[in-house]
Amino acid sequence: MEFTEDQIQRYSRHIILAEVGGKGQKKLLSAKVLMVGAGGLGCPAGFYLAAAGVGTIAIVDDDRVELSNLQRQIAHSTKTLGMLKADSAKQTFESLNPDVNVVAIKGRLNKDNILDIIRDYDIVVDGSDNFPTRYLVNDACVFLKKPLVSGAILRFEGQVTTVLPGDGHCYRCLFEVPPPPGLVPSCQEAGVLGVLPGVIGSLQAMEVLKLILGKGQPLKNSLLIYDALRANFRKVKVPKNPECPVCSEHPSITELQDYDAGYCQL
Amino acid sequence: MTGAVSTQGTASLKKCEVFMPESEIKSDKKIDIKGLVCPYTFVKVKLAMEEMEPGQVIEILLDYPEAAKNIPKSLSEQGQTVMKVQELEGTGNWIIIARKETD
Repeated sequence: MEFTEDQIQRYSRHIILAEVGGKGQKKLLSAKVLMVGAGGLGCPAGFYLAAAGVGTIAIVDDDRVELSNLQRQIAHSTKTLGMLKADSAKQTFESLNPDVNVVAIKGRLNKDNILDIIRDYDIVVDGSDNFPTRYLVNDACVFLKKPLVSGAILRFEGQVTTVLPGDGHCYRCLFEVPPPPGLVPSCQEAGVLGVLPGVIGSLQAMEVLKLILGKGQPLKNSLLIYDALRANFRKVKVPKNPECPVCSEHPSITELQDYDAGYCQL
Repeated sequence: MTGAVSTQGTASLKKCEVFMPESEIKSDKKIDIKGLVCPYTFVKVKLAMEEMEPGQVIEILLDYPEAAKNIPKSLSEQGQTVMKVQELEGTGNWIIIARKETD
């Protein structure tokens, strides 16, 4: 493909980077990224991926925009209250950048549909707000060997990690099973400062761009922890667990499972 | 500027070791970016050079004085060799000749 003059202007700050160039920009334009959730994390992550010219962005979300979302979910607006989040985000991202094809998937991932949904995408971004989905997405990405950029937030603290199946840790190497329902409070119960998902979702978008471009070091075998109140980033090592139930050589989990929805869902 | 070869913008170049009379430098590609300003000047140069093979030479014609400084600097930073930076006296135009070393 050849760039149009508009594209040359739109992506000029990418093209002049040695690590990107026209070739890197073309990789971005032909990349296909699937985002789980168009909430606190998915909004900023998707916003930046769209701005960067990631050519295909799928958004899986079955929720509708509520007023209480707007303190942090910046792809939605007062004008899209009540709209499905996948549609609201699609509208926002496509108006930011008409080069981007946003696929709105209005539904919920489960063990029966997830493999077919993520199969066609290069990278998965998890911005989900509950443990059943988080583990389902991890296991499905391990099975399909899809890179996964996972983010999580609560109150004033956030985490990001990048799972490269076959080449590093997975989410279960870090936390083998979901915590029991009720142990970890949800944002609904505990609150979250609205900028926090902006920081973490942006870090997720940065990880995605690095993976597409093949530049830098992804957060493989590591977890980046951001403490907003102390303005502190910590990177901790996460070795691959040789006994991991899903990504080790002798996994005990060989098929997908839907955890009981006893978990609070926002 | 009265001299044929400008030292402006080239003083900091480490890789600018090759200076040859214009007639001896054969370019594989020529681009005219007159009328463009930064950063589009370098954007166009970079896109043009991506289409070239290492070892090939590009000749760039431009008229934005800042770019006559910035393009050689950026090319050098990104591992290419700047062979010549020349103001075409009385025209307000500049010629930059560079060799692609790396993708």
